[in-house]
Amino acid sequence: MSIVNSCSTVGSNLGDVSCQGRRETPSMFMVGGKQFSASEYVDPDTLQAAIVAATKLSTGDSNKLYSFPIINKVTNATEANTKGSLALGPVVRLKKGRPAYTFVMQDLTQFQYENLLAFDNKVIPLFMFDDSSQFWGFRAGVSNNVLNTNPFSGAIVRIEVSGNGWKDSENVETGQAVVDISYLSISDFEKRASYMALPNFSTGDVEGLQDVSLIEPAAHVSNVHSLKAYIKVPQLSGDIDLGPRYGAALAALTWTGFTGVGFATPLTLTSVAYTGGKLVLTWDSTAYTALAAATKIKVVPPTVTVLDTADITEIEIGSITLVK
Amino acid sequence: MDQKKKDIVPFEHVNFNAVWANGKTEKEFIEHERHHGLTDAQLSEAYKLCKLAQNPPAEVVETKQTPAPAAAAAVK
Repeated sequence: MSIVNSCSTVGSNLGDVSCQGRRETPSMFMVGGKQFSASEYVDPDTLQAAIVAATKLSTGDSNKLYSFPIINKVTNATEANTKGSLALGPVVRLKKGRPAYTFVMQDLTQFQYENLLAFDNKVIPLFMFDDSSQFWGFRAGVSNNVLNTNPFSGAIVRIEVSGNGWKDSENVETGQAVVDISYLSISDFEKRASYMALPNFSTGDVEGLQDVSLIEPAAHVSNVHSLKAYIKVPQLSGDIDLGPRYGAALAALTWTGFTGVGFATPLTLTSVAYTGGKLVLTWDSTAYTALAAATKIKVVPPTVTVLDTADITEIEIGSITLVK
Repeated sequence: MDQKKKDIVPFEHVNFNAVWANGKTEKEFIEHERHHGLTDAQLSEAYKLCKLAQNPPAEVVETKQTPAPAAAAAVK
């Protein structure tokens, strides 16, 4: 080697900082567009509260996080590096393998699996919670001499969902749901992984919400419409009516209605009751009468956050469009 | 200072929109909401509660008077 060289500029110092974390075994992951600001990750309790709050947002909110089921098996499916060499030369890495992992989630119900399929073959940011209570994501770097206050977001992955078929009576792993993730950017995965240890966080804190459908069980009578709230399941005749448990509480919350182009015109609800196993919505008769026949009315139920505050937890109610 | 207005008034099994009711007469309210199976007397009471929810009475604030020094000395 020549005495004059540039070797000292190739790398960086290699001293370690004790007690810093590393990626451990994945326990559960969350996907969605939520980006945590520096004030939200100022300490573990604040970040934990922000994570839980993000899972309770309504579908369609850009800050919503969806929590996936518990992971029961992890397989490293990272692509192998592509290597080559000249006849006499050293082995050269031609291409670095892209990080990818296969997760098996045990004994998911058909109900849950169908909901997972909504994420099949999608590209979405992902946060990983590992078995050392560390919550991993992505944070863009900053230039030197500046403290990093960049938003903390999920790392972009492609998700594929498969499996949940018949078991073969031989191997526990057969018939289980399989979720494959592949990180789009090797560089982001390797260089920009950021985490916070959340010692008080548990996967059960962010269980996925259940979708609730509103159904009109009978034709409306003038300006009075009736609704029932169901969780629809694959089990025949097994749809779950939320009325007996939550009907009165749901009626006490704020419901709204809209008509017109883009459902931008409010239609006043004068009362909401839970009567005879149904939610009874009464529209302002003057405004209702003025609507043309077959006018569509969109009913917007209480949000997940409002439901949660009223102790109606773990559900999200979808809207319904009624016809005059 | 006004107490906080309430927009929803629960009465029996019905939750009334107090904002809407506040702009209606009692007769209009009763006719509009009669289908809930409540009696006219009950609906009349519900209407009054809606009006009260939207027009809460001003809160009475008691202020404690501190006697002037001269007056305080006279008391002794």
